[in-house]
Amino acid sequence: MLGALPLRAPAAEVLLEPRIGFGGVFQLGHPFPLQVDLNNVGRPVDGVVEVEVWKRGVPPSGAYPVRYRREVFLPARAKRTVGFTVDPEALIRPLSIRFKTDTTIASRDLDLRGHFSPAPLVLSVSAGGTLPFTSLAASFANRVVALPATALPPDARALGGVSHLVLYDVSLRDLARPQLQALDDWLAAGGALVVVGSLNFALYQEPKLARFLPARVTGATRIRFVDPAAADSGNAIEGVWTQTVSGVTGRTVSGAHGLPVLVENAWGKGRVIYLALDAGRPPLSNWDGLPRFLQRLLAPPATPGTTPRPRWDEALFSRLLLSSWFIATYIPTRALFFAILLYCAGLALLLQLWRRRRHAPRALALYCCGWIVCATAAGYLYFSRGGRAPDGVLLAATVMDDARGGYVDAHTNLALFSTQQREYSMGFGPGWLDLSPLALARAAPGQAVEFRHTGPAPRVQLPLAGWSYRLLHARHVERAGLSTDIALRDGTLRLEVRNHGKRDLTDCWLVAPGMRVALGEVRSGSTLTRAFSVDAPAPNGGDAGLQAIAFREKAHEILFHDAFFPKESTPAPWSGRTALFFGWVRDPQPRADVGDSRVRTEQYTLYRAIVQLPLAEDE
Amino acid sequence: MNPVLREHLGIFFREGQGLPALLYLLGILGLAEFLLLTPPYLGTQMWSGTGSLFKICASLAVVLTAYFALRAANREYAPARFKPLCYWLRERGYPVGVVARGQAAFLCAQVASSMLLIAPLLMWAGAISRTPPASLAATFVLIPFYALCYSVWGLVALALRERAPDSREPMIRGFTVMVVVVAMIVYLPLNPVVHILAVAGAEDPPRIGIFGAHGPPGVVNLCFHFAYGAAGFIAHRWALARIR
Repeated sequence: MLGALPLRAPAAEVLLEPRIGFGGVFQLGHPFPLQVDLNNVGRPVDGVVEVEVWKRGVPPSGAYPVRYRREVFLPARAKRTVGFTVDPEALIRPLSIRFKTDTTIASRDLDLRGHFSPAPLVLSVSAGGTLPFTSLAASFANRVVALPATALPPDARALGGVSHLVLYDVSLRDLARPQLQALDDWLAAGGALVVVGSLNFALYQEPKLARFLPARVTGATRIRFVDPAAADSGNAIEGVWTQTVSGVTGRTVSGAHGLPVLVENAWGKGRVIYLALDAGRPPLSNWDGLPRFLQRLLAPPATPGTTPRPRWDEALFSRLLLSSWFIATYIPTRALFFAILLYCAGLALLLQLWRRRRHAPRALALYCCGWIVCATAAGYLYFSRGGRAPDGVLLAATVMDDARGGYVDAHTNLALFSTQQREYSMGFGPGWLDLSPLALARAAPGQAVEFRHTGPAPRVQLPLAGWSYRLLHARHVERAGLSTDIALRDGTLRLEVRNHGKRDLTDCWLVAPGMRVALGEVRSGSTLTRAFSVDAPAPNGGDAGLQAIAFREKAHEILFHDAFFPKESTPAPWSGRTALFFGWVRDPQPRADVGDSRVRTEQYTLYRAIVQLPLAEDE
Repeated sequence: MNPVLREHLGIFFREGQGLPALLYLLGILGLAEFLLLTPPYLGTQMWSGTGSLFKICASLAVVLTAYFALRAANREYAPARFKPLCYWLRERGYPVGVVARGQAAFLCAQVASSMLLIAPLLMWAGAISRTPPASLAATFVLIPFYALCYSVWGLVALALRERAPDSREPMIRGFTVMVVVVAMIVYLPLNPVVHILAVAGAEDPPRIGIFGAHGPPGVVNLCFHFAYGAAGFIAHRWALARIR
């Protein structure tokens, strides 16, 4: 209780009041929202809110702090709320919140151990009526948290610990664009949106909610409802309110009287579940079986096909650095060779003049000194400024996994290599879900990572020593306009690749058991459709086929064989009876930016779709 | 001009007898600098090898400059062309101070010309390695300082055993190596290469205790070399006085 009391900072006169997660709860191991209410009871103050959490890290670097900072101006006698998405791993250390000014610091430490839930959360967003989640069966391990729509976080990462979001009788009209975008990204990344119908069907026709629904809501009517799971018992509920729909785009799971009652639709890696029944009003709200019925809607999805993170470590990075293009970015080997040659040639000429004794020794000495001074100055200026040597090189290698519906789940290996001792500010685009720095063998223990909130999206501050680097792993979910269908029917493998994105796919391949086909390019705006006869598929032939694929560019070769499809990855989702389509994205859009022309950026992006083929008897 | 200095400069630079020392210095350092940037020689360390380019070049430069200055002081280039010390001291009757100053000035000229010749290579290496200007400047001061501190003992050896060049060369090399090794064993930061590596890399020199005390390594190093060099100049005068 004492910990919950706000602390008062005497000099700055600012009170800090944090709000953790959703209703004070978050899922362990996932990012969560943190709101800090600042109450200035004194004079105007300019300061920085800093939140510090700890990551476990891995040996040899060990635990390291992650700091989130936001500059804040507080007028006199003003209140303000500052939001962060924090991601602690080591809960043994408290979460520290500080408000720093030039002269004073107000701080507060929070013990997170009383706030976490081991299971994902279920968020219930409802304006008027409530759904009877409180009486869910004891076997339902997830915590259900009710909150208003406006409390939804504007950052998809903050929803990482949420498995289901239930919307009932609510308007999303007041949601800001970042909140809707976060909802979209969270869904595409594997979240589940459960929309329960209501008598107020007009709310479901608002564009902000209708865009998520797998059907168009047209009205409401009463029906006789029989629970499909207990259809044998013959118990029916008369006069249940249900929404009438048209234009169903998803899969109708159950229906009644010709009306779809339960419709599911995929949304990237996630899904939208639409229950047309009004479960918050009588007579359905009085039904004993309602909690169990609702619990079935909140069941976890079937095991999703997960692909392992691409391999990324110092050995692989060192191999990439040995590529000629990378060396050429910062090592002027050729220029130095010619400079040394030119300098020696000048000295040899002076030596020749000295041997011929045509010039006075004093004059020759002056020529020699002049030549050396000129060569020194010109070379120094060229190699330090004019040699186009960058301050750093940002390497981003992305593998985009097809996530249905034009969405891709992109894992990006990032390496920031610096030739200077300086700080870099790295920003990420929309759909950014995760960023984890990787431990380095020679990293200083406990080196902090700092997220600085200066604009709409936080930027990561990375201080680097001269001739050092930092490896990071980031994850995005975005709509790339790429989708692939692979189907095996009647001994024919059919492939359809739709490229509605802005970039061409080059060097495309199809690899299936006993088959390896180079497909060339799939240009932006085009669709590639091919059919192949599969007479005698060889078991596990696909995996063997990957190793034989070669690319002209060495970086592609290294990334493909060692990072995106590592041999040691077991069990590899692309091994066994799978069909794999992949292609390199030409001139990919930047996944991360440093916002500095002195930092050269190199991007590599591979799009892939992995499809499990049916067994022979399934066909 | 000092007659000893005039004679030495004439033989070394006007006749070109000292040019091999300068050309070797330039050739070795230039080749090393280029090879350090060539991938096959660095293997997987290629990516960060450039960062150490100036450090390696500077440490190589200090060794080479001191070595060739020591050889020049020890009269290992065209020894027959130089007049013996007893000629200046006894036959011409010059005071010890004049001869000592002439030889020391020649040594400074040799070190200065070496520095002038390799300056572009070091500066380019510094630019490629992104070495801070302060480290560059410090390195350019330290290299001739170390070279003088060690090579002055070549003058001592010459004055002590002028008539026995065959035994003088191994003696002065052995003595220098012994001083370097013993100093390194007693206190690692006393080693000039270790110190140059630290200064060129803009890092703090290694802090190692000496007899339980932890002094500032840079100051200890400079004091030691200052004392060592000063002892060399005093011993040189003393040895010249013996000839007279």
